[in-house]
Amino acid sequence: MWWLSVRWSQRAEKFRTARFKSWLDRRVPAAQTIRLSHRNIFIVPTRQGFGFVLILVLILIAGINYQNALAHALAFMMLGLFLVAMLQTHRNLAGLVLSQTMPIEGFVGQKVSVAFKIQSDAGRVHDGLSFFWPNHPIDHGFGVDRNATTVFRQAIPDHRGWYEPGRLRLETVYPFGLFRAWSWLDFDCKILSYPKPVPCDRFIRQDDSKLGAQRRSNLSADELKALRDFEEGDDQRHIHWRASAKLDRLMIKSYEGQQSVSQWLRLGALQALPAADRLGGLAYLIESASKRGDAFGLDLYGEQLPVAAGPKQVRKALKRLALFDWPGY
Amino acid sequence: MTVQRSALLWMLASQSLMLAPHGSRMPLWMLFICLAIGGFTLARIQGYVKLPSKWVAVASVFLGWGLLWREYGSPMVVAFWVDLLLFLYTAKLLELVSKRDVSQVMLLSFFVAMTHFLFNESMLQTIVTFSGLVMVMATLIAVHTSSTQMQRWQPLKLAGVAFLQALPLLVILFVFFPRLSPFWTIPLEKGTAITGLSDRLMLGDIHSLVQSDALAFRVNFKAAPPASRDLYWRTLVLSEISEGGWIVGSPPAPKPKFTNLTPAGAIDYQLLSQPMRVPLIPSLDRVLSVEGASVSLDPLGFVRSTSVLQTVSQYQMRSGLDVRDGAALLAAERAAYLALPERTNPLARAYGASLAERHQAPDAIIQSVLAGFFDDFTYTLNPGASSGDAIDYFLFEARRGFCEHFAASFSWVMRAAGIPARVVLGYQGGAYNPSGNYIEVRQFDAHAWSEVWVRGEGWRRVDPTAFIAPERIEEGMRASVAGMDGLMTGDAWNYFQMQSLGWLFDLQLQLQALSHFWDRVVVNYDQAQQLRWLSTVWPDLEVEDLAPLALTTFLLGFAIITFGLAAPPFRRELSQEARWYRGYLNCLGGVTPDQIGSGVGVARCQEAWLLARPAEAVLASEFVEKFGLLLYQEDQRVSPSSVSKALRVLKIRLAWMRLVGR
Repeated sequence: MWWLSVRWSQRAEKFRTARFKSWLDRRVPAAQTIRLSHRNIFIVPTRQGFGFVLILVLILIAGINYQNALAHALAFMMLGLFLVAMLQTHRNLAGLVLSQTMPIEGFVGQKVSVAFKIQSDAGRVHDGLSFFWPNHPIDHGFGVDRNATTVFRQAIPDHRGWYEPGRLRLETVYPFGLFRAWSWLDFDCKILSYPKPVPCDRFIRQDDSKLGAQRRSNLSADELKALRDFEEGDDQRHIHWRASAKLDRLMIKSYEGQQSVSQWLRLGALQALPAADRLGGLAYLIESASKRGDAFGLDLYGEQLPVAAGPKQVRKALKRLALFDWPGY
Repeated sequence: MTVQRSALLWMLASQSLMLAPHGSRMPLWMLFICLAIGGFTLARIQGYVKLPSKWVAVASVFLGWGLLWREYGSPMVVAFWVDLLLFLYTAKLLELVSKRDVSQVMLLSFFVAMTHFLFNESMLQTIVTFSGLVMVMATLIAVHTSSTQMQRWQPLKLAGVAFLQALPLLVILFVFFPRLSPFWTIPLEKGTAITGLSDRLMLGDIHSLVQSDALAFRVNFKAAPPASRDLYWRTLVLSEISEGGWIVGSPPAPKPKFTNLTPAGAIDYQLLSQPMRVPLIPSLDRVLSVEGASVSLDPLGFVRSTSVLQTVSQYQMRSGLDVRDGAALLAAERAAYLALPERTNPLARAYGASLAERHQAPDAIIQSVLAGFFDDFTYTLNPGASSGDAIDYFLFEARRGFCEHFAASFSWVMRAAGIPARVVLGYQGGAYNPSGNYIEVRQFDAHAWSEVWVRGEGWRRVDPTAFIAPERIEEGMRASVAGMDGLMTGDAWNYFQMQSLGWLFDLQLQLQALSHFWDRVVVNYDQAQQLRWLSTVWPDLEVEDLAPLALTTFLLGFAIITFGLAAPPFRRELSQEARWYRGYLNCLGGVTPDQIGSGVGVARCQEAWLLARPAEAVLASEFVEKFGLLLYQEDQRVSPSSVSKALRVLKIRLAWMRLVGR
């Protein structure tokens, strides 16, 4: 049925041809902070909206045929309501300011949460909003009151490197469901996506695995040695909540014996793996080293990262993997 | 269900309100089914029962269709389709699952709203219907909101705001939108019994009519309304006597008169008639002209309508009081108006003949009957049953009766005496409503009187009731029943009882005036009235101008609403302090920005201003002092309102100084 195409959000992909995209890039340019206004809001009646107009016309015809003044009035009231519904639906988006500024990273194939800050510029209450990437899970609707709200949306990177999840759709049919207002928002949002970890214990050399085994037994007997300040990239599981609450800042547990063992993780050592999985194998090794708190160095065909330990080192190493550029990878 | 519970409750409430006006009209079994489905849905919302299989919904639709068909006998009645719509509207609840279902039901509500107006166009109905629609919109809001803690009345409030925003557009379109003529006509058989005059007079007819307090029509006079005794509302002329009584018959048409009768005392008025049983519209005494939809003047001097009067309709009329046109009577007419059925009422016939022998002048005959014969008759609403020849029984045995008895027998006797005579049916009098400045005529004002033809004068009205019960004519039915306790029964009696209740009756008068205003101004707003009304503002308005005018005003109204809703806020939410500061900077009048730069405190600005223009800056000293005290020293003695006041004073004095200085 032709009217099925009225449900734009479901058919969005169909309309997103290259020409449409380039037009959209001009119309709604990418920015870290976007304010919604008549420049970037699209609005079209929903199916219910078209039904409403149909009923309006039928009532007007009946009013004319029966020369019924109040049926006339009813039709006019409906027309007024229809237009007010359009303005109110538009107004429900207009004045919203959305921003996405935090750098994001994650592994390919895993859900990555992206935080968006949304607030109302006009100090109004906005209700019944939905905000999503097409082809990604759609969350429940939400509302924005006078205070800023943070919403999280999940994207799943499908390739290594800089993953661009594309434009987000912010849409609403509130208040009456007669109109759908939406916008395609581009926050220039890039997700640094690390290769998907591939378990590769059986491929690495003997001595390395021994070292690993030795450390693992140590870790199990670990005792809490000290607390230090939380750094970005630290494992949340290691946060010492009680101390954090007392000191009013996040504290992280640091374990005895950390950084005591070091190893070099070499891309060349994983030749046994298929080429596509080698970086994933390294990502897996980095992850395990990070869990154990081991120091490690990274060697990607001669491009080296010196041996170190800690969350910063882990992020540096994963970033190298994500952006590793070599023929055949 | 995927819909919030609160939204479903709103839906049930609004549906009940939309169905309520049909409740008393729809078949009883259907009312029960609707209530049952509503109760079931309520139980479902509360989680006591589950959604029935979809076959229940399908079966109920077929059941409803069949039962309605049986009820109405044919689908060619509007009520059948309306009830079917209402049935579907309710049965949808049996398969209601998603938000979209709720939306559909709510859209259907607008259609249901229209059916209200097909049956009832009163102001009360309009208020009920539009309140129902506000609740429908509230339901839609409750469905589409994503907040789970919306305050209970919040959807209603938001919907009310939307209605108020749409209201100007409604008013603009209602006033300016061109009224088109019907594309096709569908007879609207509502099947409601209407009380009113019929096209014949059997003795006892009017007596049953005066039991009813139903509204017949209302009249607005351009000038002051005539006295009650002059208010004879002619509706129908009965010219023939048949077995049972007086009937319309088929009198020969009178010679058409070409003289344009516009006597000096012509009265202009606007008559708003309620639905009538017969397509006849009452008009005052001798009607001269009438304007309105599908009406024509009958040669006998009353107003006919070519369509059935199913709705409240409005007419512009002009009448002369007691006009004697002196028209001659054709021979055929004379014969018709003298005809009496054979072998009936011998006593009345003999009495008439004796009158003709005794008197020569018609006036003398009329006077002798009215003053002599009718002298000891009793005017009563309870005349008792007649037997045998009704006229003879009334004249010579019972001697008590009602206007119909007097008129029927008087005309009978006149014919027997050789004077052409006929009976006129209509209404007499009416109550003046001071709140609305109109005269209201109810069914109990129904009246019958006689007309006799006098040479050189034409038809003359003779009302025997005026001689027997003058108070009925002088002060109307309302006064004459005062002395006849217990004679009236039913609605009319309740109406007169109300009259004695003082303020309650006054309140009722006010409500009636309001309802009359509604009928006149809103319900009967048609093209004629549209032009009349608009031409007071635009004197040269033509019908063709309406469409562009409607479009222009509509776009204008829409632009204003759009501006109010969609324009970016003029003033971001600034603090009071920031507004004071900005107000002060505006006072500087752009004199000193180079000297002070931007974002500088009031004190620094003031210094710079004093240097540049001391005469002006001095005026600001009070504001600067108070602003500083309140903001920086948090002085309790300085109130925020005094700072605002100081700023206002500064602005006014500054403006004055700049104006004078120039």
